[in-house]
Amino acid sequence: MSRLSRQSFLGPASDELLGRATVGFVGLGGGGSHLVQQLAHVGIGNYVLVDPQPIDETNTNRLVGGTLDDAKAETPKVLIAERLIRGLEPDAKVQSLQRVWGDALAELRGCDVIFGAVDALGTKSELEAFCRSNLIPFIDIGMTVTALGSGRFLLSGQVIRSMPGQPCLECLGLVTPSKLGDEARRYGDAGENPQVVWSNGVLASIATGLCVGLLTPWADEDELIYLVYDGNRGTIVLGQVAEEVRGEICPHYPIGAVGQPRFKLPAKEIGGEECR
Amino acid sequence: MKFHLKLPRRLFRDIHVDLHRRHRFAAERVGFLRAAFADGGDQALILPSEYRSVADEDYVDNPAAGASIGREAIRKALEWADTWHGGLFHVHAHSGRGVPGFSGIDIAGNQRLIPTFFNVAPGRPHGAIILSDDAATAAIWPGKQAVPRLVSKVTIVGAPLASWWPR
Repeated sequence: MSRLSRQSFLGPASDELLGRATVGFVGLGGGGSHLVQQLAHVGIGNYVLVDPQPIDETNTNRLVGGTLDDAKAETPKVLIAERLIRGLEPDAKVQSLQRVWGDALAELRGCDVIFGAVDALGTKSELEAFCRSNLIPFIDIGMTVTALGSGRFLLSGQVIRSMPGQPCLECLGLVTPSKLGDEARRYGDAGENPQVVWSNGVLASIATGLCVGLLTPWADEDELIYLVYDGNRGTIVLGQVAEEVRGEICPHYPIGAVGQPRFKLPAKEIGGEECR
Repeated sequence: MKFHLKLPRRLFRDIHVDLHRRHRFAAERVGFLRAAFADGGDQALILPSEYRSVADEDYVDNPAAGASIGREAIRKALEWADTWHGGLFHVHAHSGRGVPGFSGIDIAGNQRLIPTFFNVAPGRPHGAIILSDDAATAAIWPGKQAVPRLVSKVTIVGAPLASWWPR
């Protein structure tokens, strides 16, 4: 019996597939910390962890693995995540990058799957564009608390698996030019976004399943996944808009728009031949 | 540096459909793929952008080979590569499952063909790709005079992701 024997239904080669996979995490707060913890339990072998921030006391209501001592010491969130991973996969290859994701592009390009656990729609959109141009599946999770008045709130969220060539966040209506414009106008005066541990946990668990379903051949072959979470009712349903656009070619990210046009191999790789 | 070839599943299927069309006399078909590259840290990503068939009339009747293409096919491919910032890859298919291998005929043909790609499109890698029913492999020429190398990883990008590690 191995540590992973209870998940052998994932396939006879699943331990190797998961162990050889490289998964990227952008954002290691409330959502990202859950994701890292679960994927370490599952047996992922290679991690790219990206978050510029240290933990603070207000994160401890939801950041899995973060302690009050970490908050006092201002421990980087990436190191808290790495500590969680090392407790389960001590030999894992972990790249802990305490920086904005735009400064971790080469490391992220090496990922098989990237999770986005960030609040800003603009960042989600930029991350998706990056993933599309490098043919990387992108899994976005996000939650929102909306005031309904009279002291009532709506807790909602989404999990989206965005695959190259398939409908994107804009096709699904999550990111639109008008929403991005509204977000830009609110920039700087939004205050703190309300966040709670249980909704992040629900969304991260669903997203973990979608990632494992990509890396091992146990799940069905639906490429586009859009799940909508209603935290007041405790339900998750298929997003109706996904059914409306299923099978359509994404007009925002043409499948051939890939790579870095100015890419050059290092001279030592090309046998001394000069690059023009 | 390692090379990692990624093929979107839809493109993989489309290429298969094209390569399995019957030809009047050629036993098999070939095609060309334009691919971009990206810096993936310790690996270079090979990211296909567009596939193009070889026209029926550009095959040469050669019973000694499964598929022989004439100068016009190569001229069109080179012209296509000349207007592209990335690499050009010769593509054909072997039947069977799992990671395919280059035959002696493949290797000899590639040694003649691939270096000519650098005449019109120097300064970027070029190569050859073989598809099997469910996987692929590729040989990369980093430069015209460089020794070709096998990619270290191939991923068919879809749900599920299918990753292969050619040896």
